[in-house]
Amino acid sequence: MLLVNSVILSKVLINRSSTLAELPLTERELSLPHRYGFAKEDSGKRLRLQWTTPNQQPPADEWRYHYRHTNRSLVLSEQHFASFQFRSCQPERYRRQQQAGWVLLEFNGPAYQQLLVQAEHYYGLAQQPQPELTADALREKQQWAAEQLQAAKDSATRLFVIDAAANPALLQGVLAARSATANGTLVIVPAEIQAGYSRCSKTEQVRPTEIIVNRLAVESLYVPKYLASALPQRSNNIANEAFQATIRYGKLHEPWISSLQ
Amino acid sequence: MDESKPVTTSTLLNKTQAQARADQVLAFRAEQKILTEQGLLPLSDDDAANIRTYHDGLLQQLQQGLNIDLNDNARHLSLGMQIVSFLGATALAASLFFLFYQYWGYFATASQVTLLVTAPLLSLALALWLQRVDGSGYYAKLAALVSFVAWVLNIVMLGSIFNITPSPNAFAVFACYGFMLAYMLHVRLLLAAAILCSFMFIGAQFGSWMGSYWVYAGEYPEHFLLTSLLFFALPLKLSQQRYDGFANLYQILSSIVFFIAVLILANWGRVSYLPWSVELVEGVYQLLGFAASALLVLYGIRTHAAKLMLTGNVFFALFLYTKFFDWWWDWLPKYLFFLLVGLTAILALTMFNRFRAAQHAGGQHG
Repeated sequence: MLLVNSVILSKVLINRSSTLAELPLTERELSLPHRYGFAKEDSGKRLRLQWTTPNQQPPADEWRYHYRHTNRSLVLSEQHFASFQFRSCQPERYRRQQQAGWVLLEFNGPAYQQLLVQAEHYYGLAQQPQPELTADALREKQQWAAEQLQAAKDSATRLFVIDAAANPALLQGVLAARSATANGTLVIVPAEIQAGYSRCSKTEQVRPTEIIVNRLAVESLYVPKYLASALPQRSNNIANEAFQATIRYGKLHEPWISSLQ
Repeated sequence: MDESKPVTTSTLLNKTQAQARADQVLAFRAEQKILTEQGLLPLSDDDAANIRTYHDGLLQQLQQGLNIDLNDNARHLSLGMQIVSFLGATALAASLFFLFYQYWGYFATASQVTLLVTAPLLSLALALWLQRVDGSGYYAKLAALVSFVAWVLNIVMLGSIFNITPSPNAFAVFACYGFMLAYMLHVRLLLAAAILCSFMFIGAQFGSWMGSYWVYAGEYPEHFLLTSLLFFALPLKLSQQRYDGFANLYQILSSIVFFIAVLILANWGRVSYLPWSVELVEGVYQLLGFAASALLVLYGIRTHAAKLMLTGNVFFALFLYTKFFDWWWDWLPKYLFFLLVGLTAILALTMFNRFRAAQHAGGQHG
């Protein structure tokens, strides 16, 4: 027992002995988990990472209906997609094919800037005269475009999963190239991946290298007691209270909260 | 008569065997009394006294050494104690779990780690101490179960506090401690927990080797087939004579896992790795299910393992009735469907009756 505990604690020390990346996240990227069921019995505090993927489709009126699906999907290069070695499609076979993999996380970088540009562009389009729409429909569209722009500027997460591969070494090159040319903080973290929903469908493949990032291996972060007092007591207050947490990723790609204000 | 013999006998028996020996002695006494009253077993007073003294010594040793029951009332109380002990252990384990969750947020990280690391060690020490002072063993087993839960909490909570990437290795660690406690303190419930944790760990490893995420290992039942065969064979290779009920538990639990996996594959061939058509995969697993459950019944009869025979019977019936459902549920009127199910049950009953009669005949000749 002591040996197992020693191994676990040694891994924690090794992980925290150096920092791969430091992300100054806010209430936009962190949320308190819902406290229902047995969670009410839990006096520990945790924060959940809120992340998304770059939107593949240009903004359109149907955007709002696609959002839930698109914020987990990602189109990869052929090399990165091939690294997962998803099994070939067989008729009538179960094909969820989840795998452990690695993703490249980007905070406040070009992916977020692209979201802002998309929202501004859609807002600009909504302000132009559109004879095919009734006055009410146009007003509704303009209101929704304004809400989207406001959300992109003030409340949407700036944490994006921008690439994925089965092997972290494949992502190192992308990380180095992107760091040299763009702003934003980058870090490689483990995640659970599966092939795109339409990979084995009979219809023509629009995005044959699409994957779905189901979740990051560690999405829920423990808030130590000495930091917990900075958090709101109830989860429904968190959206109204501004706070900033510094999240560090260590040598073993595992995160921890180093400060909370 | 040499009274030292029972001492050597009782130390080699496990609790089930000792109970059977005591039951045999008590039955002999009852029968001897009737035969003596009818004048069919004339024994001299000395012989009768010698036999009685020998049996008294034997029963006393078995009772003291293995805590067996010497009458029906004691047996019923023992069963009650086992049930209460199981409920108590479950409740205590849940209490420990929720107690920690309720208050862990109020402790600093160092205190949390200290509590988590020491809880299983302290409860293990308590279990070992109770084993020495309490002959019945119930309290030691309770403490062992609490220690196992404390160990699970230890690993889970350390992972949670330090945001460690989840790993199937945790199940291997749970299984090792479960096996250790089960063999040290003779706790069947912990053996079952350890076996199930081993299934989870090996299944997850198979899943990872086959390219899927370990959490979803259960979605592919073939991950568990080889492990269940290994656990079934384990008591045949490594004698469990000293551990009451352990051999049965290995074989029953592994049989249940094996048949559930085969039952899923027989009805939902899409989840198989076999590179054949879904119909062929389902057909192969249906045949395997029938053959394996029939073999288990025969094996149970041959080894006098009633619970294994029952397991084989239950799964044979399940395979049969799921096939009936596939073939006839939509096609036949419901009264006819249930009539057929009833008739097959009567047919099975007739077969079992004949089999039983053959066993009786064999027993009389033997």
